[in-house]
Amino acid sequence: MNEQAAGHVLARFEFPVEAGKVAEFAAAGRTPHPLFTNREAALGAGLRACIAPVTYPSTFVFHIGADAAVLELMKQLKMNPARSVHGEVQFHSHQPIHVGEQLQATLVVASDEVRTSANGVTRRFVGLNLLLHNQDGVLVSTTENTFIETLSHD
Amino acid sequence: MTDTSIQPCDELAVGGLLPMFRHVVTRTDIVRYAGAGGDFNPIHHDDDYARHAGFPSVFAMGLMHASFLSRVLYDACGPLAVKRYRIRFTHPVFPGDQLTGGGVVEERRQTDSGVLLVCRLFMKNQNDRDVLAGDADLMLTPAGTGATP
Repeated sequence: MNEQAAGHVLARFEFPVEAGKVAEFAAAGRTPHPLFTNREAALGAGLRACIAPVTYPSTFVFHIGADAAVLELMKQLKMNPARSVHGEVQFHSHQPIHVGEQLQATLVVASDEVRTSANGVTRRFVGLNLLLHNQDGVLVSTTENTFIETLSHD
Repeated sequence: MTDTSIQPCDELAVGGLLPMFRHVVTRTDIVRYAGAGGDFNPIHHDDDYARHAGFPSVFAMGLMHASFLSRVLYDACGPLAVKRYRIRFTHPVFPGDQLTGGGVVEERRQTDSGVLLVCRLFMKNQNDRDVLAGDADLMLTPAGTGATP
């Protein structure tokens, strides 16, 4: 196990926001709100286009340039996928993500620490943040992920 | 499905309930979300692989039902109100599980940007076991939230 330094950038990539993908994601997430799928409804609400659900940044794996993106990331982090789980995720929406935007994505290690619980289980907690900036360089979304790897049991 | 008796967002006070979400999970849900979300870990679609890993069958990726649960926020106040959404994955969700999700307003206060609602969220299975726990910030602004009238 090699802990990663906080601030280490794992990847930078383009993240295009496409109408069909947003609609597909909204349907799969059972969130069929008209602002996600109906351009007229979005314009009527004062938006310039449909917007994406708050959880949409989780589709970044399509744009990172690896077939098995999550497994590839774990390999980079030197985590064992068989002993690791996705423990928590927090989405921050700073501005709506609009269909048609070409976002710039940055995936960065936010934290990496090992803790041993009172019952003797040692776990590694890796914080992985996804930052999405729009064409004007404005941060529109931050996603904070925590992955947990069980290292040892007493 | 969600409840139709939705309290207007701007009337939600501390203790107010968000509309409930109920759904029985199918394998089709899981496969559809894999395609839409990009999680192709075989533990979510290959029974043999899942059993070999010690599970009774495939199970859903947590982000699937996290997306399901976000619907209570959209149904309550519209997508534009959702400023923060945090979820902890507490128990696997299997095909056939009957999920019930909802939320309650824990804090309501005026800020410079508008009225902030801090909500606690939950999702349980048919055995009353928590599968998700979370919280969210909803901001109600004079410009509107995108709530469906």
